[in-house]
Amino acid sequence: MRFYILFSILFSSILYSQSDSLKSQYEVIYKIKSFNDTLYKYNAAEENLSLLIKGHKSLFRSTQKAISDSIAMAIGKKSFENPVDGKVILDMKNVPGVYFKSEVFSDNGKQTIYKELMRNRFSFPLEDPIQWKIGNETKIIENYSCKKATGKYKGRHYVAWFTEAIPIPDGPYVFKGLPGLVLEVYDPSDNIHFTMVSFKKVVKPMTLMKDAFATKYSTFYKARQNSIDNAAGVLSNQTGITLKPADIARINSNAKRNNNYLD
Amino acid sequence: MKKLLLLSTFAIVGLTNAKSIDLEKGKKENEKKSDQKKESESELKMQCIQNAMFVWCTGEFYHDTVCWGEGSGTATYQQAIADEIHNSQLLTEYICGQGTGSGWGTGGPN
Repeated sequence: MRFYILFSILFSSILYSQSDSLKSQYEVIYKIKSFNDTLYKYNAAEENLSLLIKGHKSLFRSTQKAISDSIAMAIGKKSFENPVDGKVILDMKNVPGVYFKSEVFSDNGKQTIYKELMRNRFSFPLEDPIQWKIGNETKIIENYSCKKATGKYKGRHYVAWFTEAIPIPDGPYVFKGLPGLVLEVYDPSDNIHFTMVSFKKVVKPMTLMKDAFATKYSTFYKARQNSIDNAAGVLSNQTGITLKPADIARINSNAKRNNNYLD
Repeated sequence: MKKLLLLSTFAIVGLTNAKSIDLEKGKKENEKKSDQKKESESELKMQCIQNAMFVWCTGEFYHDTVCWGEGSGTATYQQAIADEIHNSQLLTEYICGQGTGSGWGTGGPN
């Protein structure tokens, strides 16, 4: 009898620990196309992004990020294991870049945005969800009949196309809350453009960004502004590396080139 | 009587064997514990490795020393090298800039 009680306790605890790790039912892949400098629209950057959905929960993030991090770790570990003349040489040239570093976790419509600024990670709640206006216009995207909706987010107007054929009120980044899945969203100047690439039943772990400092948007905004105004200083402070004067100028100049923030 | 003697012999032999097994087990456990102690002591002791971060677009190196263990502020070797790899990534991204095929540290609508 004792054995059976012990077994049932053990079994239920295993079941409980498994339900703790969230896994998706569906995955929507979107492509983002955007320009870093809206005054110089040359060579749009593109990257695939993933929206993992499980019931009323979803996680939106770059598909490239995990790949890039694991390649960097593999290259780095190999370098540490094979020093050249007793010295470790770290060369990150072959690590693919990550363009879209933000992540959004949505739980029953309550959205939390995760951001990375160099070594620091922030999380803050979406304070101003988009108030959508649904229009009469329709168009077909990937064989789905879509309706047009318009809304404003952080001072920028957006057009979204959603389909009621997939009754999931979700979409890329913070473009959620419509009565169907958002398949396309863009601003009228087309500086930022998300397009659905695929929609599939996929079981994947939905793991949140770790070690993020929970704060408000205003705190993140100030930190980002500081990292734009004084990029080299912030980088040096966070990494503990004393930068060469030529590189300080280069880093500060590079940081100011971007003027197309999604917020 | 004979049966009793036989049983008691078995019992004595059994107990002796069990005792020697226990002793061996205890000895092994002690050895294991001392090995673990040595390992944790070496983990606790501060150690450092010198490294050079190569910035491919300028062809220059940034020399640095990475430490872990007591007093270093980083607990383990794994954490220390992960931090240094991240630093090297950031350095490449921010110096070489956007669209270079090596990183987007200064770009993206983040």
